Amino acid sequence: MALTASDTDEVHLLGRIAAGDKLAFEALYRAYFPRLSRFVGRMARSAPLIEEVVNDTMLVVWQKAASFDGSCKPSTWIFAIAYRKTLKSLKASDEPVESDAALYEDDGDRQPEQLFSRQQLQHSVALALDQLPAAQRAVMVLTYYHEMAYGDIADIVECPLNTVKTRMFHARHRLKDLLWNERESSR
Amino acid sequence: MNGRVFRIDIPAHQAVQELLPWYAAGQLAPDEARRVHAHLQGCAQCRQDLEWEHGMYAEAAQSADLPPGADMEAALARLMPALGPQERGAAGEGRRAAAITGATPAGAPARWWHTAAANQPSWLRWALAAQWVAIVGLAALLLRPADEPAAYRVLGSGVAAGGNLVVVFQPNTSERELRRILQAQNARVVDGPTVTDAYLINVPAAGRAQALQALRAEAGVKLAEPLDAGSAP
Repeated sequence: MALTASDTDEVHLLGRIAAGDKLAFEALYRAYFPRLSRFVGRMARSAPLIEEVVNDTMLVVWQKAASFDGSCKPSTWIFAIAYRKTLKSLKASDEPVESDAALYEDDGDRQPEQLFSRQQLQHSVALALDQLPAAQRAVMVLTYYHEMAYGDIADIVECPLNTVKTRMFHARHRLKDLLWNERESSR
Repeated sequence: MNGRVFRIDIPAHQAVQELLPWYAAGQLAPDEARRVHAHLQGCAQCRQDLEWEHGMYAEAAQSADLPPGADMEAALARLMPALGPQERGAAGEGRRAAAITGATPAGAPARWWHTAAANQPSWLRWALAAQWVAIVGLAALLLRPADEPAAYRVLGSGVAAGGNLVVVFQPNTSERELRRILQAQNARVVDGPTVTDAYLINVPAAGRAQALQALRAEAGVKLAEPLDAGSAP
């Protein structure tokens, strides 16, 4: 496992957090809030839920910093906690793990079809992602939005390497189908 | 023969298909990246799919904003007063230092799905240990002293103590008949047949007189005599 300079910085921060340093905790929180909230936001939709899951995650980081043993990158360790917290909150909040894409269809900012802009394409990708099962969605989000290697993703979602690859393979096919359908129906 | 001089290697194609997302992001190990690169030279479909992957990354990069409504400062302000006590972990400074230098700390177990290969040294160590436990256990079973008396007896040992009647059956008595007669008296053969065709049997002491009467009444019994300590049969 090769650590980058920022990984090393984060290992140091975790060491200080384990010693009870709240300033170090704030620094790590600010470094991770954007990444974690984007990740959780792609898994669950409501903003209060996102902040709650990020805070639950970072509270565990505070409590268990001393148990981080360096067997993986700090980001892998923290995202693994976030993934578990996200799944738990999705179950607890009854927010459908397979979100209903129809909820986001009529938000009024649809462009004329001939202007199939990049923004609209992003919107379509987001909608299509929402229709994937949570396990496939997590692997896709970590790959495309967080540019993580499949080995790190396997650690985060706690499954074998081959499962990550095949899950991703099926998710891509599903996503392509969904995007194609979306485009056809908007014609 | 047409212009196509090779056929697509299906398993290799599938393996590359699975790796394309991480190849597009430069997230593969060098040997995997080389394998994908080599396959791409001869596979139009994979090249086309690679384009799609680049498109996905480009779109993802465009949507790097925070989710609408997420407020970091407000969330942090809520969390800071709620930070409670910390757990004391098993990982010490030594292991964290090892993490910084990139070395695998001795005490950190690798994820099991990374070590599932049968030839992994750690698996072999455990298998060997389990084998030794089995060997030592079996040896202990073999060497254990026989402290309980065996449930069987060698014929002839302690005979006199067990028998309390002597019976001689008619020569033409069948085994089935002999069995019936003995079972009717709740008798067990302790020894015999002797050279005189006599059986030494045991009946419950309390009912010996009745048993003796009953045995003598049987047509198949030629002779039935009590056997007391000191009396000769």
